Amino acid sequence: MDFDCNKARGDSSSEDSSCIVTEGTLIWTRPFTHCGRTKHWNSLSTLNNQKCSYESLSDPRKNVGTSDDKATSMCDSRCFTDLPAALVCEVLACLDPKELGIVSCVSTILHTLATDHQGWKKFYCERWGLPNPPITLNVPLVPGGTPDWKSWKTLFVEREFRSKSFMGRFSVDVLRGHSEDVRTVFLLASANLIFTGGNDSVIRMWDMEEGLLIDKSRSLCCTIRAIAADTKLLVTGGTNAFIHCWRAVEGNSYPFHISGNGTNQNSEFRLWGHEGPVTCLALDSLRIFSGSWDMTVRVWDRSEMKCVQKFMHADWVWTVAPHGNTVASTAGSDAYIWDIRSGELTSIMSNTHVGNAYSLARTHLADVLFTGGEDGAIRLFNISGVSDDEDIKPSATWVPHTGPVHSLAFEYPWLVSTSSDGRVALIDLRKLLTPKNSSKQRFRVKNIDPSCIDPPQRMLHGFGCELFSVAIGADRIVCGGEDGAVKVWNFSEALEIEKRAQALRSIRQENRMRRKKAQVEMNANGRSDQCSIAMKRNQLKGDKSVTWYSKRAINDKVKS
Amino acid sequence: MAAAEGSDGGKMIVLISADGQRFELPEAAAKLSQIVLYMIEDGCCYPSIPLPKVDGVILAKIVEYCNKHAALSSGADGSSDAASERSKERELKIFDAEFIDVDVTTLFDVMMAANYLNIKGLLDLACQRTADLIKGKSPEQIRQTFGIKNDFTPEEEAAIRKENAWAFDNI
Repeated sequence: MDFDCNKARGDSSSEDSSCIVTEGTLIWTRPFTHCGRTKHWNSLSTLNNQKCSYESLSDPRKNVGTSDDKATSMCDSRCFTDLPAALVCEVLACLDPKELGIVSCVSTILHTLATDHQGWKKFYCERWGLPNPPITLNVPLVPGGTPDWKSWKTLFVEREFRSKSFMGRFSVDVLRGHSEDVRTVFLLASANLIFTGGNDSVIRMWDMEEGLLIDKSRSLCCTIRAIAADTKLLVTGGTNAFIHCWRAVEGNSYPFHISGNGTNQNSEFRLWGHEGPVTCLALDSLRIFSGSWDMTVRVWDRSEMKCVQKFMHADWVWTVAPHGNTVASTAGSDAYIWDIRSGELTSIMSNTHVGNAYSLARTHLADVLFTGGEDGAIRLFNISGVSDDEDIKPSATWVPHTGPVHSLAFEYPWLVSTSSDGRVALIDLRKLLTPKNSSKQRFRVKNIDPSCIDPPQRMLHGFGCELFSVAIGADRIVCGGEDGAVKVWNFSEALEIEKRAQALRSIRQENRMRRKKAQVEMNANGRSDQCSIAMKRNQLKGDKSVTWYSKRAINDKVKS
Repeated sequence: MAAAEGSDGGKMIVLISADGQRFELPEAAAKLSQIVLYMIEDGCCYPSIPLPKVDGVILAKIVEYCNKHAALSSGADGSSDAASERSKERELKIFDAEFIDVDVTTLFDVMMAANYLNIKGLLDLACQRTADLIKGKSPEQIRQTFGIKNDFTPEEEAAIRKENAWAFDNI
C-alpha cells in the first residue's frame, strides 16, 4: 500500500528532480547545483537511502520542503552578479569605501561596478569637498568629472592615504622673513602656495615644496589679520578696515603678483565698507566673507565686488566660516549661524567659552561646528536641524591647551589647533565623523559615544612662544606665531615611508597568494593520484567481491 | 467582476503570481507598490492584477510585508501618540529584521520583485541586508556566500589585489 503510494508520487514528480522507484529503493537524480542545501540532501539520501526517501514521500511536510528546495535550485542559477546592474549598484551604495574596495576584488563585473561607482564621489566630497582643479594644468573640465581625468576612486584612495601621514614622521621647515608677529597663514594646497601676513604689514607668498619666498607685497600700512585665497583671488584684511585683493593673472608660473611690479593695476584693488579692523576672511566660489571688530560680518559678491549682505553681531567678530548656504561666525564668546539666502540668524550658541571664542572650523561632512576659545578648550557643536529657542550644548569638548586657542583648521579627519601655549594639537576625528554606511541616513552626531572622543593624537611644539594661526593641507601643517617665523611641518617623508611599506606588503601578499596557489595545485595533483589509486583498489576489491559472490552463488547452487 | 469588499470595508486587490496563485490584500497594502498604485489610479486593477514576473512563493512574502507595513502605518494616522508610534516603529523594525532573514536566493528574488513592483521600503531593506552580508568578508568569502565565480586570470587578480591593497588592512 505504502509502496504504491510511493510509486505514484514518484511518477508525478516534476521535471527538474525526477524520482525513480525501483524495487523499494529510491534514486534521486537532480541537476547538479552549487547549492549547499541540495548537496546535503543528496548525501543524506544516499547515506540513508531507504529510510530517508520513504519519509520524504510519506510526510507531507517534507514534501513542502522539497518544493521549496526546488525553488531554490531553480533560482540558484541567478546569483548576485546576475542581478541588474542598477540593483547591484543600489546594494553597493550601502557599503563603505573599504568594503567597496574588497568587493571590487571579487569578480570582473563587480570590479567594474565597484570601481566606477558614484559612491566614491560621495565619499570624497563628504570628507574634503569638491577637489580644486590644479591651476597649472589647463585641461578643460568636464562638468561633474574629476580634475586631470582620474577616477573618483583613485582620488579618494590617494587622499585617504595621504591623510594618514599626519601620524608619521615629519621634518620641520622654518620660513624666515617677517620681522614681527605673524598673525595669519593661509595654505593654498592646489597651487602649492603659502601666504603669510602679520604685524609688519607685508604679505609674503612662499612655495610650499621648496619653502622659498616667491614674492612679497609692498607695505599695506597696517597689521594683517586675515588672508584667504583660491586659484582666482587672494584677499587680505587688517587694521585699516579695507580688504586688499589680488586677482590671479594668467600665463605666469604663479597666479598672483603681489609685489605689483610691472603688472596690470586692474589685478589689484581694495574693498571698502568695514568700519573697524578686519579680523577674518573666507571665500567660496561666488562670495567673499569678512568679519570685523565693527561687529559685522559682510558678504561680498565676487563678480561685482560689492557688499551684498551685512550680519550684525553683539560683540567683536573673531572668525567666520561659510559652508553651503550658511555662514558661521563668532563674536565675543558667542557663535552664530546665519542663513545667507534669507539673511537671517538661524541659531546662536551663547557663552561657548569662558572668554572670547577666537576660532572656528567646519567640515564638509556634516553640520558640525568646532569652536576654540580663550579658555584653551575646543568644543564640538551639532548644528543640524536646531531651532532658535533650543539651547545648543556642546557635543564634545577637548582641552588640549593651557592658553587661548587662536586658530583651528580642519582637513578630514584631522582637527588642528594652535594656542598661546606654543603648541599645535592634532585631533583625529575619524571615529566621530565617519558617516553612516547607509546612503539613506543622514549623518548625525546627536548621541555621541564617549569612546569615540579620542584625546588629541599628537602635540607638535612650536618655538615656545605664542602661535596665532594654523593651516593644514596636502601633507603640511603651517603655523605662524609671535616671533615672526613661520613653521612648516612636512609629513611627506611619512608618506614615502608608508608607500614603501605598502609596496612591501603587497609583494608579500602576492608571494603568499602564489604559494597558496602552488600548494593548491600540488594538493590537487596529489589527490588525483590518490584517487586513481583508490579507484584501482576499489576495482580490485570489486573484482574480488564479484568473485566472492560468484563463489557464494556457486556454493549456494551446490548447496541447493 | 465588481470590486470585492474586504472585511474592514476597504477595497481588496487581487494579485496573481506567475504560477497562477491568487493573493488578496487590502488596497492600502497593495498601494505600497508604486506599480500597483498606478494601476489602481488608472482603474485597471479589476478583476485582478497579473504579475507574470513574480513567483508565488515570493509574492506570498511580499504580500506579507505589505500587509504588515500597511496595517502598522495606517494605525499611526489615527492616533498621533508619540509613545505608541515609537512602539509601532520598533515592531516594524523587528518584523523587518525577521522578514529579511532568508537565504540568499530568496533575498535576491525578493529584491528583484521589490524592484519590479517598485516598493521602496522593501527594496532598501533587501539592499541593506545584502550589503550586511558583504560586510566584513574577504573576496573569497563573498564569492562563497553569493556563489560568484572568480573569473579573473591569476595575473588580473594579483593586479587588482595590489590596486586595492589598502582595503585589506585588517583582514
